[in-house]
Amino acid sequence: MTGIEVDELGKVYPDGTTALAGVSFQVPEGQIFGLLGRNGAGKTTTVRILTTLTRLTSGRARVLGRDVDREREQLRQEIGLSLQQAALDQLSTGREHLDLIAGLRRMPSRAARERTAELLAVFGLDSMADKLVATYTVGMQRRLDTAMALVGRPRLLFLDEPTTGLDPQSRRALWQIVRQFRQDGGTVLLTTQYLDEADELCDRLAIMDGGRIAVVDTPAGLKRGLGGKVLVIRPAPAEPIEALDRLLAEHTVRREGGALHIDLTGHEEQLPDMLATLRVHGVSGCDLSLTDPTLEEVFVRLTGDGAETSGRGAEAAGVAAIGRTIVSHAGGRR
Amino acid sequence: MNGTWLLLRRNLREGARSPVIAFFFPVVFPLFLITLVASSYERMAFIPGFPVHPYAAYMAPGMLLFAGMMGSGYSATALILDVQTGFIDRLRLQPVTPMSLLLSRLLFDAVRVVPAVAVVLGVSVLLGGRVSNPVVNVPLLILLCSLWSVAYGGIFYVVALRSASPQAPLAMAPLSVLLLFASTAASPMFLLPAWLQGIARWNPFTYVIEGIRALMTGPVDGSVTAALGKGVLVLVVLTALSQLVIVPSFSRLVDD
Repeated sequence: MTGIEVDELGKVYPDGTTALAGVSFQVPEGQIFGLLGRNGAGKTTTVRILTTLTRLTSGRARVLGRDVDREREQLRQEIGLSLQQAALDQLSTGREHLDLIAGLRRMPSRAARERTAELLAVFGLDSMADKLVATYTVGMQRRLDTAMALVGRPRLLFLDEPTTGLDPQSRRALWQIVRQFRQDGGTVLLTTQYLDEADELCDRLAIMDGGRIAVVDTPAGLKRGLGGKVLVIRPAPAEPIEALDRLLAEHTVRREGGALHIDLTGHEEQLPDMLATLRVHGVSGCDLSLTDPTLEEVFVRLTGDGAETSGRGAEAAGVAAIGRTIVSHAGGRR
Repeated sequence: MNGTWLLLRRNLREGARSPVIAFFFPVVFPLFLITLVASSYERMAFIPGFPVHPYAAYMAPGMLLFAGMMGSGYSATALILDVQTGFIDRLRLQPVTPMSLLLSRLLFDAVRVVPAVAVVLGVSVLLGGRVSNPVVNVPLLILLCSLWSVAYGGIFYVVALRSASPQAPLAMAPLSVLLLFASTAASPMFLLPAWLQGIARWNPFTYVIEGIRALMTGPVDGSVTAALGKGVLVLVVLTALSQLVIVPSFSRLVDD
């Protein structure tokens, strides 16, 4: 059975903003599916529509076989949602939060007590269970929020940027919980801005930009399939080499950790010239290697490398498709 | 109903853990007024024709209602925050109508004034106030004060929901003082200057005060039933009018 089916989903807000412009993807049950994109790409709107919180304006979406527009009440029983901004009462305890949800779901009190205790243990919140949320760390608040989403034993869990603002330990703890949820047969749709998170956690992922899906694939498939290799020069030459700069004018060059990463997408034929230039300029003692791109490089190819987007991001999304690149459009080095 | 009850418990718990606005203000300000103002103006009661003695007994009905006006806006602000923080989104995924959130906030307004009214009533009695037929009238009086808290609080919800700003209701706080002194709370109608009499007659608060007064020291004129009837009518109409705006505004804010 398909966990999520989204077909040409569109959302235009009353003020005329187009948040989604025809989004389609499918998530089989039992997978962790990631929506990766920058702020404003349409990730949260997608989640809100799929969780029945926001009405779609065009297209169709089914979650666990139910139409998100026509079967809202039934669907709400079967899904769990943890929103980007953890909506917690600072003056209530963790246990009170879980009890409230169990009560609202009309769980018998004994079952509710057991479920609450179980979740507090799984999420490592036992010792803080009866302390006010105001005293929790950001990571604990986020875990409590996710625990609340699981009170009703949902089959499908939506997590909107679950690890934004968390320290590395808390991130790993949350990743482990998400993996365990899938292992127990659950399906997960999560949104993230973090490429390593998508790479680490997701079975498949969609890169969103400007309200569209640029590409859907497995993390490995994205890195492999999306064009070119990356030439890594380590350590990077101390002095800029003019001849090399001329050759590289059209390439995306990134300096990272003392190494020079040159994105060869669409310019593989220039590789011999580059190597010759490097030799002529006596770049020796350097380690030259050709590698697959990181997910970050794939992401930048698809969505441009500007810090803020709107207009250009949308244009980039239009240009982006597997096998094509927007390297020249993105404009060289950074 | 289950949802409303659970949410009311949440509101009460939250209110009790941060009691200043919701629980202390309603006690403190009316007590200030009835002890200080009633002492300063004590001699007003000696003006020929003054209906009630001592002056504190005259002032008590207004002060009991004033308790319900203190801390108004707290609930409206809390409701808007529930929408803004996403609590309402979480609620919408549970088998409970979002209206139960609104209802739980209105009930909170009704409940939170009860301890304040009890304290202010106790002090009023010490200062010479009285309630006729207390077994029936004290519960009735508390019920009317609760209703007034909901009716008056409605104004704050309208402002909050229309502006969708949690700050807006707090800016409305001085309204209570305006209503108080443009009514018969501190001075009987015949002692007010003509222009203020005109305003006081149009001020719905006047009729609620006179309804409460009928239960305490007896009506200033007419029968108990007439004074009480007018008071209840004002409360019902005000509540209905504000809810006519509040319920649809809240639905719109919540759904999509």
